[in-house]
Amino acid sequence: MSKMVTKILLIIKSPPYGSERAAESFRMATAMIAMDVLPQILFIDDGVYCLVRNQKPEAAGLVSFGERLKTLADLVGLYAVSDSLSQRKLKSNDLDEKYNVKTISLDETAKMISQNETVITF
Amino acid sequence: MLIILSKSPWAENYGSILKIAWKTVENREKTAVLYIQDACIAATMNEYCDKLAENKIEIYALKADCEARGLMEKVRPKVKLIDYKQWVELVMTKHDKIVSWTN
Repeated sequence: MSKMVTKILLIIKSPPYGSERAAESFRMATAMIAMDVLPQILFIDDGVYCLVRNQKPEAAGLVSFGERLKTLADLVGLYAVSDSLSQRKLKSNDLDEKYNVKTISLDETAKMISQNETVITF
Repeated sequence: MLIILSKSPWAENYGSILKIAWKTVENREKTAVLYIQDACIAATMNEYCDKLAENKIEIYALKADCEARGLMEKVRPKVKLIDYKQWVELVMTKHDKIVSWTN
């Protein structure tokens, strides 16, 4: 049997709730953790809106991914690209503190992508 | 004319449709823009709110979609937040033409 890929980076670039893409990536991450693979999770471009605090998806009849994302934050940690945040005039206090997001530069993002064996974007 | 936008301004180019909106105002038409779904992000951005308002374009955003995304605190002051009932009123009674600008 071929060696299982264990260094996986999930990049979320879609905004929350307008599509299922972001929520799907979180479900995939949960499944990976259940298989003892700990992915890295990085938010870039409109993906950073997933991390904004005071989200009330129930108001629009949508199912919240907040609890799942909080679990992922606790288990593997969440990263966000600082350029994407500053372009959108989002500051660290605009992000939900429960996610304990680490912001990284584009340089660090490049290194993170290089260091992983597989990169999946959503 | 009521223009309805639903995609993020970072994912879709609003340039053409907003220029068209300005033209309709020049032609003395009553024009409004409604931001729904991911387009609610635009309701937090100066270039998609204040500049339109200066050109006498009314700006609306669907409150439920702003709330869902945690954007309420950042919605620009010129934006009128509406519920689903008010959306129906806009479509049925306030505007004769509806342009749903979606890809």
